[in-house]
Amino acid sequence: MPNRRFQSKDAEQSDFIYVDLLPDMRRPRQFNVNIILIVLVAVFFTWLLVYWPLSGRQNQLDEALNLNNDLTAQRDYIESQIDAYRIDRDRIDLLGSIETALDNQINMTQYHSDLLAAIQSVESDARIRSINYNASNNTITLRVNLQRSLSYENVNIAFLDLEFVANSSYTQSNQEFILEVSD
Amino acid sequence: MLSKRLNDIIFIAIIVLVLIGIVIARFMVLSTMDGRIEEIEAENQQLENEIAADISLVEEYRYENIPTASELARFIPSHYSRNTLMYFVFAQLELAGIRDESGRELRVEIQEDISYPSESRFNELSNRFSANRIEIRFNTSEPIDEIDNVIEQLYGVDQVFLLQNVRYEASESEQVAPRVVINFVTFYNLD
Repeated sequence: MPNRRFQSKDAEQSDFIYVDLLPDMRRPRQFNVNIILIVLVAVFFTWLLVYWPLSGRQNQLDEALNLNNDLTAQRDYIESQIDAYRIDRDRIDLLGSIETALDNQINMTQYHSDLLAAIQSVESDARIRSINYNASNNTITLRVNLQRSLSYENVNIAFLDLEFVANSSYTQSNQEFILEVSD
Repeated sequence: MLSKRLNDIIFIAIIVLVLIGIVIARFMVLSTMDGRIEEIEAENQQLENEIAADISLVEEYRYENIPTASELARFIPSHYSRNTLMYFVFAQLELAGIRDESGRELRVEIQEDISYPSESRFNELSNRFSANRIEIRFNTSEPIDEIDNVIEQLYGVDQVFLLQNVRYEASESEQVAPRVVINFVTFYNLD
């Protein structure tokens, strides 16, 4: 729309009307060099901070993926060998568990004879009054009748010399020995 | 028309925003990439471990005859029957010289599917298999010999029996026979 402006003169004179008929246009912006700078900064820092490290990571990823392919192929080949030799993992696992179980069979008979021999090496007529072996905490609690009070210390020393005894202690008042069995 | 100072501030703000955007994009893209690389490398490590285990498995068992499933089931049976186990234990006790006679007060009790605490030596086996505890009680005048006989008898059979607990206490009176309690654990592969 044209910008109309009116100006009144003296009453005797005729009125002149000044009309600005030029359109009200915005002048085009001057070319802004800042935009170019922003684009350049964006491109440079994208290259520096994103593209450069990313290309390094891409190489790492490619190497890892290549290794993964090689290892998968190798694993498949060995799996095929396992099948070819009819190696059954489940049976091998079960066999291992059976061997583990058999390793846990405590030789209590040997323990009895060794303990009795150790006691009777100190007092030949001594006898075991009670015995309590517990595999859960690997201890043997013994109550032994001994005639001499010094014998308790000697029996304890004899117990400590036994191969399967890790530790031994006694309370003379209860006539009791507590032995920790080594695995 | 913006003033020159305002124009400069806007320019610097846009530069800063662009840099912040690039830095955020960098961390997002690189963290995704790093995560993927770590995932592949962990998978590679697992594959290497599997391959090493498989190679040793092949080398060890290539020419070795692994016992058949039925042979292994003799040690850890795959079928459980309470009555069968009970009769089996009584039979073994009889072979060890422990008969259900008067004065003996022979008792056998079975506790099924028991679990053991992590510190117990039976924990690993009881996690893998069904563990049953057998408690044997009897009176005897020769506790050590008879305990040894029972243990040797049950250790001598194919089925795995593990000694869990033995206890006896001689009475002050010689006329009262000591009471012996022996606990064994046996396992069943019921999967």
